[in-house]
Amino acid sequence: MIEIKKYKLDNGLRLIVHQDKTTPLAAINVLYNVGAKDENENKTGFAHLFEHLMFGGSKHIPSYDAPLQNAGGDNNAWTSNDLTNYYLTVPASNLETGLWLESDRMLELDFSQESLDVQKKVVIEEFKQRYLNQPYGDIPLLLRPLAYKVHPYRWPTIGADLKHIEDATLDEVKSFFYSHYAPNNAVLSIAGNVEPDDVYEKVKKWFGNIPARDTVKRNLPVEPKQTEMREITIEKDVPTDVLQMVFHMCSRTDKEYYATDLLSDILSSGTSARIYQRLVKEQKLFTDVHAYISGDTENGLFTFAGNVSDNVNIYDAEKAIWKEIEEAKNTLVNAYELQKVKNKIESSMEFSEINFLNKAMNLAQFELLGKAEDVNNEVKRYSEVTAEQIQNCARTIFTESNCSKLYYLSEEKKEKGC
Amino acid sequence: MLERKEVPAFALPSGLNILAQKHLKLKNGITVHFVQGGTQEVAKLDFVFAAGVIQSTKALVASVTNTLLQEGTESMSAFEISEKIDFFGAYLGQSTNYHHAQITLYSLSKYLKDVLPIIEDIIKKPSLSQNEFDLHLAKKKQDYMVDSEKVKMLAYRRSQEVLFGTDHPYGRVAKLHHFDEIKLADIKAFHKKQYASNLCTIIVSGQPGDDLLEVLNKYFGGDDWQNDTPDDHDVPEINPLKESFHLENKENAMQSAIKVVRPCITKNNPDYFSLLVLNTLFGGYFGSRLMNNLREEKGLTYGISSYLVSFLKAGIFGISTEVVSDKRELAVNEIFNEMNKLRNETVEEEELTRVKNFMLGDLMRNLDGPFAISDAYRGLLGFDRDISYYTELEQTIKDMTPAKIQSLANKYLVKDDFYVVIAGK
Repeated sequence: MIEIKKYKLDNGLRLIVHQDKTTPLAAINVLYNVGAKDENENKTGFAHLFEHLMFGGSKHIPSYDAPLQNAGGDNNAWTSNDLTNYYLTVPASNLETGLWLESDRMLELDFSQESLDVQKKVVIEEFKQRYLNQPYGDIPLLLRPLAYKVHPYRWPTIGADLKHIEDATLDEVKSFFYSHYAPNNAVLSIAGNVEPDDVYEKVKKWFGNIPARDTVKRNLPVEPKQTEMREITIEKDVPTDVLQMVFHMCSRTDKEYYATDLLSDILSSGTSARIYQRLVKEQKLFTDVHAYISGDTENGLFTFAGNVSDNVNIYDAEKAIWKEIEEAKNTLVNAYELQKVKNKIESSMEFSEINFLNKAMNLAQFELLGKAEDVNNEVKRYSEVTAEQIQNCARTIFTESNCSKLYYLSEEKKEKGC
Repeated sequence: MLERKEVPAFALPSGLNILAQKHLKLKNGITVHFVQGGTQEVAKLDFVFAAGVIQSTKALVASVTNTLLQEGTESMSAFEISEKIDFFGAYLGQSTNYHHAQITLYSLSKYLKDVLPIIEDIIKKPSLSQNEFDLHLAKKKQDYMVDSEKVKMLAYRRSQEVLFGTDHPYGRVAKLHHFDEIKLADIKAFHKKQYASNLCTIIVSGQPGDDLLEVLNKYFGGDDWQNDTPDDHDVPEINPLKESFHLENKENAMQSAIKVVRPCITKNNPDYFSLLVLNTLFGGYFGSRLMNNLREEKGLTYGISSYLVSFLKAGIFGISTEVVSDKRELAVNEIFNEMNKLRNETVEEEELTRVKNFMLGDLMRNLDGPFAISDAYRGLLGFDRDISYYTELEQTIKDMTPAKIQSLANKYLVKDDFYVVIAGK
């Protein structure tokens, strides 16, 4: 149970405070309601590039990092398809340093061509390091555009193409800021050794006079229902075949989300779960295999991903996954197995509440999805899921016409004739 | 009017809030380090054994043994074990390093009594079956081959060989042929020899309940699992290679991984704390000299860092980065240029203060809560140090001066002492 107090400023900024007296530290988490899905299809990777620029200095403060480090703080940020999240931790007595820094960059960035030029290079190296120069690193670049034809989830947050990043201009950066970064488009959450009402006063002081802005109203194209199975095969210089299969599923806020999540847990959570036990340990078709859901704010993907064993044909391995899918559709999960995955959920929630920074991040995300208080209803939502609901999810999601497959084949394995 | 250009008043982070550690003994002499605390009814238990790479004679044996423990016992199949662990919402982790191997259990406190008998069985009576051995080795071999496609991993493996020599346990990197040479009999023998009560230390943190000692004694306190293996951590003299430049060729690599490394001191050396400060300033945090130069000014890399690693008997000072291939010479030159600057120019007070304050804040973060503190203790195991290590470190950070930084740089950041290892095209 995470106790919170909520406030709202006149400019629309939402504030959530959680007091945790067991730590001498405090976390500030600023979530902006803008992600890669808000990008123009010809300018992908922009939300993430922008995240880098947020550290290049703001209107009144030339360096973001140095003053924070002076106050014993540390910080980082991440971008997803749905949102951009900035976080910092400081000794609780230095909370105001963090508020000063975060409020100034919410007010206005110091847009500089030099900072843009350098960060473009940094992001291009990040693109290479994480996606292009890693075995299988380009899978998101291949699978997303296969599963999504019109929805902006069809590109990953790093972007669809290096060129989009190279072409970004300072004017585009400015316009991106004013159309998405605003107190009325953000959630501020603070957790740690703080007094909530005192935090509220300080937040009013630093954030209160930032004007609300006319942010762009989100109007995402709707992905048309997939009508036939899609597949793509590529061969590369990788040591082993990898199979990925994705199915369209509901969004994080749909009521079926919980049953869908438990369906993925039944199949794949922990080493006792079905597909690991049967496909890895008994049938030895894969050396590793997982099923997981994306948890996106818009309709997401249910993924199967497996590394095929050396002496096994990838199409035989695939058949075994379909067989597990059939069982999930035709047979109700038994009471013990259902209780097992619910217990695991309860336990992971308990562990997630140990760390104050983790709590701050979760609170901001739940506030964005609906309301922060919902973080405390998760265990109950999962506990109410029935075997019938899980079976219904399997029947709805796991159809051939809802599936996109990637066969990522090893050239070397093919030469060996397996 | 709000003054946004002025830094708000802040206090220097000071005074570490370290939860007390209790030292308990089980009936058979096993030491239990216990850190109680936290708001959640959960517990973490590390079962640490002198069963690392240096105690084994063959590559892969230590890590394979540790992993196979949880894949079946005399009375339970691998499936039954994972089924029970999962049902109680517990998590089992394992890790192997040079001097130790450990099994880590995370559990809700209320189920600890249900889960500990399983851990007892895993540690004392693993079945170590041929089937599980074959399965695990096939997976591990595939993972190894995938890792071999990563330039960063290639540079890491080579750098260990270069620093310590291929015959030294610290430099004995696994090769593909080792996967064919390891036998189940090696695993069984290693388990029998190294997983014994006289080679075991237990670290407990969180809220395990009032009867912790009683419960631990019940499952682990008996004299049914001791042997006569000494708790030996000696290693031969290190024998670094002579050649100072090493290139691991990797076709089609878009980036090159660079490691600039030298043998260095351990946590037992009086310079160690001070060197941590120099390391932070040089490449150990986001505002470091190396990050500013190679990332924020030149955009050569997504990230670069320097690090200090201390094994029990030797250490490493290193710099690690991945850069676009045709700029790697520039990157290496800039790394040495930054060393030169630290040797020849005194660091400004302002910069040093920032480093000190960042480190003091970081120390608070790294010692926040029972799990973090138990990890901090774990890092000291074998060094014959207690928690005063961290208060000493805090004091050293506070006392650091620009002159000391410069003198340390002249002692440790000397170009000729470093090896350059590059993996890429």
